[in-house]
Amino acid sequence: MEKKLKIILCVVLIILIALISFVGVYSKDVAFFKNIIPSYSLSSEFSGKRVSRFKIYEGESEKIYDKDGNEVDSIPEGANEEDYRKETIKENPDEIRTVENYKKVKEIATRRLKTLGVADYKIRLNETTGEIAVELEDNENTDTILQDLQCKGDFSITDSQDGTLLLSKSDVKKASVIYTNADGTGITVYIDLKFNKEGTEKLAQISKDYLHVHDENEEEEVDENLKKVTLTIESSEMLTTYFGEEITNGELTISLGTATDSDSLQEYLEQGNFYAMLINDEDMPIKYTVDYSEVTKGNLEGNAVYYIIGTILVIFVVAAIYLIARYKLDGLVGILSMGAFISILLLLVRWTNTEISLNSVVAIAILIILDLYLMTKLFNKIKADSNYEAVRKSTVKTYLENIEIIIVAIIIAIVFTFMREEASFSFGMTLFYGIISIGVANLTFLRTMLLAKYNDK
Amino acid sequence: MKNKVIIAVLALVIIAGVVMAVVFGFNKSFEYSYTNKIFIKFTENFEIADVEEMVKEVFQDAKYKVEYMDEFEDGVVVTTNTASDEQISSFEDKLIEKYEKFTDKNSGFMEVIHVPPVRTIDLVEVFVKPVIIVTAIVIIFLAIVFRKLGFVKAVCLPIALILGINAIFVSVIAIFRIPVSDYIVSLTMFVYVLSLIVATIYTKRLAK
Repeated sequence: MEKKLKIILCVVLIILIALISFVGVYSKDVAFFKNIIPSYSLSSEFSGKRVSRFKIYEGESEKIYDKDGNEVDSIPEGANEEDYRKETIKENPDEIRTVENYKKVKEIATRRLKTLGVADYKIRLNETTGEIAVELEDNENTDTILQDLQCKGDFSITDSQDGTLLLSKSDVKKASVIYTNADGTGITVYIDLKFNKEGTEKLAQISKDYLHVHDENEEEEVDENLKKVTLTIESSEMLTTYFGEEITNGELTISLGTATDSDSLQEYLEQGNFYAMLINDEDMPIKYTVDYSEVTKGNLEGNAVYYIIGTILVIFVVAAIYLIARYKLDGLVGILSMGAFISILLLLVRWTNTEISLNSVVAIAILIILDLYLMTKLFNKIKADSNYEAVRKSTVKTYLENIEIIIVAIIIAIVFTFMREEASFSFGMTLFYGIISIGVANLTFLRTMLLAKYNDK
Repeated sequence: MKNKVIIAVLALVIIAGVVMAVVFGFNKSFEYSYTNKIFIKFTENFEIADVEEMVKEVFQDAKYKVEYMDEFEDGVVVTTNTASDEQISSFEDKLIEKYEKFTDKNSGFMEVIHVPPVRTIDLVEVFVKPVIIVTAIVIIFLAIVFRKLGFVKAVCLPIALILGINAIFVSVIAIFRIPVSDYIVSLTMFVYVLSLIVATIYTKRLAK
């Protein structure tokens, strides 16, 4: 009686877990019933994606030269216009529109997407026209990402009066973002620039040439002739300042601002990370602009989802037929346990908001095969020796004897989980949760039902 | 003798696959080949079947797919593998003829994006790093656990098995010109992971 009770209890628990996993748990929320189990998070293969066309920017700029051939910002008021020459220059002249540069743009864009943590993207380059089609997941960050991809990425420190280039990106070894809470008023976010050997020497010289030590006892005066430098990122002047001390360690920190709440801190950090990303990478050799962007359906939307669920069901049914045909009642117990592991896995995936992609489905298929293999080993042992003690030892011994296979599966899961790309990450996470689910299902439900079945008492 | 024949046949399959891949490249699925995406935004009621009819008429032998742009179903995306300027213009004319709100070609109701093909290397690039790391760790793991088998059986044989299984699978794709799509990439992942498990089981059996 007791053994029947244990088996019935296990079956009821498995059915309950399956119901919770596939249907959910509903609770009343004001006037409606709401599912408290989070819904599945689907990757962009299943949901929508944004297709954007990047075209080479055809804009032009006007340059003004004086009679000596020097470039000037504008013709001074009252000056004779005939002494000045205006030249219209294409932003992207024909000579830079080469296949090598198109490919470089694609490489830089790919690196930027990786730095921005974009997990799912496709970049397609037309080597003839230079047009680039970018496919991204469509969410609240997509517009910002598209803007970031259009940035040229230039960085310079120049003389604020005559525009002489003092330091450029090639002098920077690494840019990163740091923050401190030095005086308790808030968190100050900085871009920290570490210069290479040549850059360090230049910085030391510049910090000497543009040095101004402000005496606190003197009244502050605005000295128009004070030598200052201008820091420019992405053609925007970030700040114009002088150096308060000589810098010989090759490190320059630039304050972005002091945040007094989490929202502004997040903004400063994002801005800092964006600038650091631009400074750490090459400039885009060609300026691009997004001239069209539209949402389309994912490749696997619609019927594809049913085909995929159908494939998993077919693998499950084949496994069920094999187990039941070969091991009869033990096989049935095995299939119930497999159902439990799939239910637990799907619950874990939903609860942890792990995105389901096509590769997650591959992971589930592999897990079913792995579980089937381990069960086959176990049931063969039980067939050879069907007494209670032997079954009790076999249920653990089988897993210990096949520990190498389990370890290999864990290695695969962990390595793929640490990859940023969505395809790898979702595969790794699903495999990892699946191994845990197999362990839980087999060492609880399978073991309990088998021990109850073979208990002669 | 039988084993030698099987190995010889498999080696031939791999060589044929490599030749096909190098000479002809891999066949790409519709989604990953060169496509023209025609986005049409509607401001009046429309039937997608009518649009599909027009597409069939204009693009004739081309492969195509007509679907709603998104869940709001107020726009359509037509994806075709070939679309000459004349065909696009003719399609635009038909839309203007049928739908009142499309007044002329400059009203911007239709936009064409020429989507270049995805390079096969771009599709698999995301997996290169994890595959190399996982394979290296697994081989080192097997070498340590089954060190008593010696270098050849504990290291070389598993490597040969892993490479062999995956090479045969990829060769079959190349030889039979199976279109490379999301499904095939995922299936390749499946075969790769299975090859690691098979290599582990085989090495374990040798150790026993």
